[in-house]
Amino acid sequence: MATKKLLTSDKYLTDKKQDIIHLAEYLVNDCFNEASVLAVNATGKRYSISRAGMNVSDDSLLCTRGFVIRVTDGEKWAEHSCNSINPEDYSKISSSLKELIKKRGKSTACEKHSVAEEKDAAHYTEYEIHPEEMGDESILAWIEKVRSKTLACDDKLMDCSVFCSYANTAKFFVKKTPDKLVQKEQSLLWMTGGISVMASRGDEIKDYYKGYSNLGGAEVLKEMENDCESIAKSVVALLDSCQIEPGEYECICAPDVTGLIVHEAFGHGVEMDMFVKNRALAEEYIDKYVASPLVTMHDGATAAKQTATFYFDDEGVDGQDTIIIEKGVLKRGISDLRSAYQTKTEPTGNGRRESYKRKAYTRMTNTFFEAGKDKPEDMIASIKYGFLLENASSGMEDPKNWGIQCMVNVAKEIKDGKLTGKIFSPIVLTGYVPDLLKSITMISDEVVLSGGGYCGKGYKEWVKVSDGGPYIKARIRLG
Amino acid sequence: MIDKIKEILLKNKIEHYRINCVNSKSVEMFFIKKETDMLRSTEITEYSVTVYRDFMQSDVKMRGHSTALVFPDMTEEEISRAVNNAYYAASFVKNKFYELPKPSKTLMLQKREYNLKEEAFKLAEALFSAEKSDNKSFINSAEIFAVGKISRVVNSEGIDVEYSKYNFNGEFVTQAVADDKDVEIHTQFSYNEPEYEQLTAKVEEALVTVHDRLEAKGPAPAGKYDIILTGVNLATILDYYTERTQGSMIYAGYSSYQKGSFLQGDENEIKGERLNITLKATQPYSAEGIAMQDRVLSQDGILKTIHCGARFAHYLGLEATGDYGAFECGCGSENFEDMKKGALYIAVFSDFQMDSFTGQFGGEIRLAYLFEEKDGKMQVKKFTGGSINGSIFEAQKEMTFSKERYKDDSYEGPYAIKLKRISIAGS
Repeated sequence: MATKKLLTSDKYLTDKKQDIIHLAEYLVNDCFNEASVLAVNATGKRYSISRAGMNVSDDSLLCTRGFVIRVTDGEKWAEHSCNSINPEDYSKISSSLKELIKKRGKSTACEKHSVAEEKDAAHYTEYEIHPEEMGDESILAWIEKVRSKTLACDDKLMDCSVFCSYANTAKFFVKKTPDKLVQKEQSLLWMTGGISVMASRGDEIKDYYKGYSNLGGAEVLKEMENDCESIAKSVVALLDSCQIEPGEYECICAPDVTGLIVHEAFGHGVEMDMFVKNRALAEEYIDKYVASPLVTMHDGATAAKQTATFYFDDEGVDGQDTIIIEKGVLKRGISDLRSAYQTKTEPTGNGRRESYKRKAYTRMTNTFFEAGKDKPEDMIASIKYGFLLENASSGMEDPKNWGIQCMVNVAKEIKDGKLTGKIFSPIVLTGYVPDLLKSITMISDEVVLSGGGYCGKGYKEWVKVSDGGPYIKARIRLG
Repeated sequence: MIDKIKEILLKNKIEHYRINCVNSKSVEMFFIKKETDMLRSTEITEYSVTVYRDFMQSDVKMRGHSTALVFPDMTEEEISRAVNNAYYAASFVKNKFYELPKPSKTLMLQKREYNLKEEAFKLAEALFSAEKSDNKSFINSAEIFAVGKISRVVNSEGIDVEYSKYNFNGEFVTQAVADDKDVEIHTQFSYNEPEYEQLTAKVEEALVTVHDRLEAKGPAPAGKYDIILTGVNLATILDYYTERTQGSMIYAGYSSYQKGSFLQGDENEIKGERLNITLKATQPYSAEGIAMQDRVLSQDGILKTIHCGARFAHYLGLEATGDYGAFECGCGSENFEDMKKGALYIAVFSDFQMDSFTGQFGGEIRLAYLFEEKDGKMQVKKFTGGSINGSIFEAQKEMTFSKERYKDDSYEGPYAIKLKRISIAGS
């Protein structure tokens, strides 16, 4: 068992702490009822190699340093994002926020109600090998080795692109009211990787992608080397794939496809800023059956150790493990601070920002279905005619009407309980979410989470999430 | 700050570099119905320093590069560490040598100044002015971003250029409610100028569309249809050609296009439109400092320009054009109304996608109109749900463009395209 090390306090934020606290105090003394400052200092690099060349650079989405200042006069809220805070800026920042609040015409009602008592805290995640200790030379050499090994598996491969990236994110949050000052800090490290293999059929290029992720460091890279052969075989198999006959079929979803369904079909639908806008059908289904009684669904920053794990969100609310669906019954949604106030519920610690430059919205974290009792091989054996769906690629939510769209790369044909070897690709999954979730009749006994991807709110606001679950058996419309 | 970075590079004997500085300001408005839910402002200055390092590998000259991000309050010691780390990393980046861009003609820039706060409020007025009180559909929520950026590019070869650019973008959700049905449609907008009238018109169209979605009854029957796509979905189809003609795709072997290639497969099989596409320069300089200009990408389907930055241009022996983010397409000869006859017009998708590797396009249908002629009269049926799944390799043989035009910040051209015999997964 490798030794785990703990991240430590961030030097930049430690040095800046007094300026940040003084700014929050200045704003409350000036005129505001409450002021908070979130300070972020993050380093993050991306490494890649493909036939087009090599690259190693700071990743502009991951590597940031800046502040977001939020104030309220008791009724209206306003924010200012910047990447420089000095005592001589306090007055300018306060004036700018005052002007924003004054400019607002009629505002939405947002009464603060009692929430759990907030306490000072400091948290740091663990790792085995810090990517900065491993060094650029070794990381580049590693991904180059994975690429060469994959390409050597089959001469039908036209290219293999390998990448990895990490983010070491430190956050300091301070909230000041006239009678209280709360301070929280955390440092988190995650690392992800991916192998994408391409093979061509004329002008058409088939590709197969596998992602890797952890809450930790460069130890995740070791997993990549083991999959080179299976990924190469998967893309070669796609060269003989056909277009599926549109229709409704019995399907087994692999954990990555389950994760995409959990995330797109239901996760977005229970984001409570959508409840506030009357944009989510889920609001009307609390305490009602929305899925098979076999289904229990979680979301939470502390529900799993993956790339969306944190100890407090971007509004200073502690991370939680929220049970959204319990044995088929919708129990509650997830919320950012503002939507929790507006719906008069306890915040769930899901207020997240793409970066300090952007607004906080209700966002998912680690989202998954609990395991069941079935074995994947028994699930396949139970199907007369249908498909095993693998290699999820993307999806889009429809919280208002519970429509689902998921793009999946591979549908493996099952006949009389056996895989025939015939493959269909690409596949679009569509349908009505409760119909799909209620049709689940078998769930496998192991949960797999993956946190390689990003999630958008609509078409923007990208945040790191993880999702997954077990294999599920359901009836799904494919096209 | 740029002078400070240059001094540090000089002190560390880093000869080849590029510094990008972006100073951005924004005013952001968030609405729930007509009430403001949040107002935000941002003021951010960011620097990125790309360093290049030359070395030999097996008698081949290589040029590695790496980019370090530099923040305004970094000390000299921190900046020095960041660029030196990048310079060290660049020594392991085994890319073949290429020339960095050199200064070209200086462009005369027309400077426009906007008051972001005022423009954001005026756009909000334009957005909500589309809503009529007697309508059955209304605006559920909206976001408006008024953004101004000043960008400067400095490199070791003598480039030192600066330009400003504005963008006015956002999104809105329209909703319609009747009896037991409640539906919505999500729409985005993005303009380089504050286009008040275009925004009002876009909202008006979305209010009609969402009302039609209310009346739509389930998915269309499964089968093959002649389909019509419009606006951004049409642009997504054409993205296949703008992406596959990039130098990076050609150099990597992902695309077999060469100058003079026919873009749409076998020329003898073409029964429909031949593509006339122009790449549009929406900013005076690329991120590398290359002077940008409009360029003909294809004429009657024949590829005229392979577009890319300095590295791939050097490898392919081409002129570096910079990277483009917008294009214009020549219009067709049919009226949109005539194109509709017998076709399934898919007006709204949840997320329409084109994969430029596989050539496959698809998406879930949120609203479609089927135009059928019966007893000499045109009948319209409205559908929601189901999906389309097609291949550009088949579809490109018989494309029809409308006479009517469409414009946003990344696409200008025909409003509508008709594609034949596309597979629909429906009821």
